[in-house]
Amino acid sequence: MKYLIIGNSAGALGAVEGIRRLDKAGTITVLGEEPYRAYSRPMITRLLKGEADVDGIAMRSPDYYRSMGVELVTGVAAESLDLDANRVSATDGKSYDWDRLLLACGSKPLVPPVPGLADLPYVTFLTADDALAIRERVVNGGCRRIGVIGGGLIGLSLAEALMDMGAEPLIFEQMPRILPSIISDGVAGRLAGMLVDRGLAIYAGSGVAAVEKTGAGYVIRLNDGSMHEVDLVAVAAGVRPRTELVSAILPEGARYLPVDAGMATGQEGIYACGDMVSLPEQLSGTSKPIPTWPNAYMGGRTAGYNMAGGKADIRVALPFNAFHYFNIALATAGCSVAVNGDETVVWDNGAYREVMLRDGRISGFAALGDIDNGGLLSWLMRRGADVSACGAEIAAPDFSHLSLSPELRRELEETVKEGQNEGSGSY
Amino acid sequence: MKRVVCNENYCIGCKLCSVYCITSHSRYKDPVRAFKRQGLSGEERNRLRELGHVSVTQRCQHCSDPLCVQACLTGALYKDKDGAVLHDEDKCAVCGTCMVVCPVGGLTRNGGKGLIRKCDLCRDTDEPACVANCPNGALKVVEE
Ligand SMILES: Cc1cc2nc3c(=O)[nH]c(=O)nc-3n(C[C@H](O)[C@H](O)[C@H](O)COP(=O)(O)OP(=O)(O)OC[C@H]3O[C@@H](n4cnc5c(N)ncnc54)[C@H](O)[C@@H]3O)c2cc1C
Repeated sequence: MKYLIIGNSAGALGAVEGIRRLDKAGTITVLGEEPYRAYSRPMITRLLKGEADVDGIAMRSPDYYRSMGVELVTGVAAESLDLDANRVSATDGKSYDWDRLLLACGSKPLVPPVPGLADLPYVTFLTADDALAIRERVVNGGCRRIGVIGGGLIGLSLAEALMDMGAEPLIFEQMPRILPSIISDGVAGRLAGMLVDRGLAIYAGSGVAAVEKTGAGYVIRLNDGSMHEVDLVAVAAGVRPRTELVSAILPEGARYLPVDAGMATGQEGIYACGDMVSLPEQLSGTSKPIPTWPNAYMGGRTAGYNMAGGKADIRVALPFNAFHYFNIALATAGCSVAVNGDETVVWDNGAYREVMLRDGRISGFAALGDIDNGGLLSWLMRRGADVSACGAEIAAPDFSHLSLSPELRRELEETVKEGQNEGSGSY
Repeated sequence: MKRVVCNENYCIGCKLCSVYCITSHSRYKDPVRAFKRQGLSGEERNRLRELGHVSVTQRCQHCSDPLCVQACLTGALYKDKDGAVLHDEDKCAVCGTCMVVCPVGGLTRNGGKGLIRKCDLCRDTDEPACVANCPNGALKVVEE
């Protein structure tokens, strides 16, 4: 069996490890456009700060690919798919065949259509090379004030690293709050307060109207008319799936490549995972993108397992995020901003928590300051457990398994005893 | 795989397990010096849970197929050849993603110090320090 994996990041590692659970002999080739071994994308902040080189943030040991029997081809991108011949042609002039193909191409930066922006040498923060390029501009290029367009996870992690380096990041978020897609006004307001206390400049609630060149730097003009001078513009306005390679199999009008819970695309022998796909989300069952590292890894592992003849569904198909930027802990899981009909249980005493309930079951939560025991909440959520009997206590930081019904406690014990092989198609 | 389990009928919530956990991972292997000289307070690898008169401690159960390892953003968490779930502190970003997927509180974080800790079964010794020093026999090693 010949396996071909396009992309060499979270999804690819999962796939290699999934394939090798069943098939020790098949040949695996990984094509990666970036000239590195798979590295931790969230850790590119360490490159920016000069704390590590790319090897220092590698996900696996140096002999990983050899020991897993993987032919790794780096610095080479797949250019076009020949679906009849099961072959891709690549930028090294060669072509690569497959019996089973995994697409794990991830995402690219979303660059908003702000007048003036496209003509500037702006930077983005998605890859190791991006981080090294920003470092060059800050350390040797004299850039100090850096306008960060976008107050999401990527923008905040960039801002934290820049502040650590002694630079002065300014965050511009068009929505009224930071991290708008994963936390509510209640959480975001408190978090923003803590960040401002730590010296971060945040301008939320007004989009960027234009960016213009001035003497040595740039002026960022917001819709509310205010002007901000910066030395460098960083675009962190979100990501877009990299579907250019798969345009032939992308359904009309779809932005993400849809897959089923086994990560199959519906094309014979072709699987996909990670930031480029939408998949059946566990609580709603509807197809959604879940652009997180764990989702890419787990999807890759499920895909790899199924490519090698297994039959399994992805174990967890829910978003969860956690970070510890600026020494502040934040964790979110599931649908972490209440939607119509959700009941929100709030804890606001030292730490702050919102737990969303839908029909007495947890549909999501956000914990700020203290995330201890967040894992129990997320287990209850994945399990679809009825927690209405827990009342307001569910949002307390010291909520524990001791408060659960005897049945749920037994089930939790079983889950752990079985080594956490929860979900259908244990593997 | 081996794991340490706690019987809530015997646990008295004294936290000696935490003290000896810290001691066993300290430089001097002496409780006073671990806390006073090395300043390891708050670095225990277990958590005490209490409700009314019931108390019990939680720690990593070294799952055979742990979600924390799969969810780890940096490769810091890994499964060792003998099945133990281990944590490479140098590679850890302290993001806490592992804590959000582990249902039993197997990872602990000291926010102030910005570090994550977890049970490593005291593998260099004959018996985990928490088990060896539990005054009421609440902790034991089970192997399935
Ligand atoms: C700064 C930053 C911080 C983040 N923080 C977090 C976090 O805290 N928690 C979290 O869960 N997630 C975080 N993420 C998101 C997480 O990194 C992504 O969800 C994850 O990397 C997706 O993995 P993937 O395998 O789908 O794709 P990617 O990691 O995007 O990798 C895809 C790879 O495929 C390559 N590729 C694309 N097309 C081709 C081609 N045609 N041929 C060959 N190679 C190709 C790309 O060059 C790339 O190397 C963060 C991301 C960034 C940038």
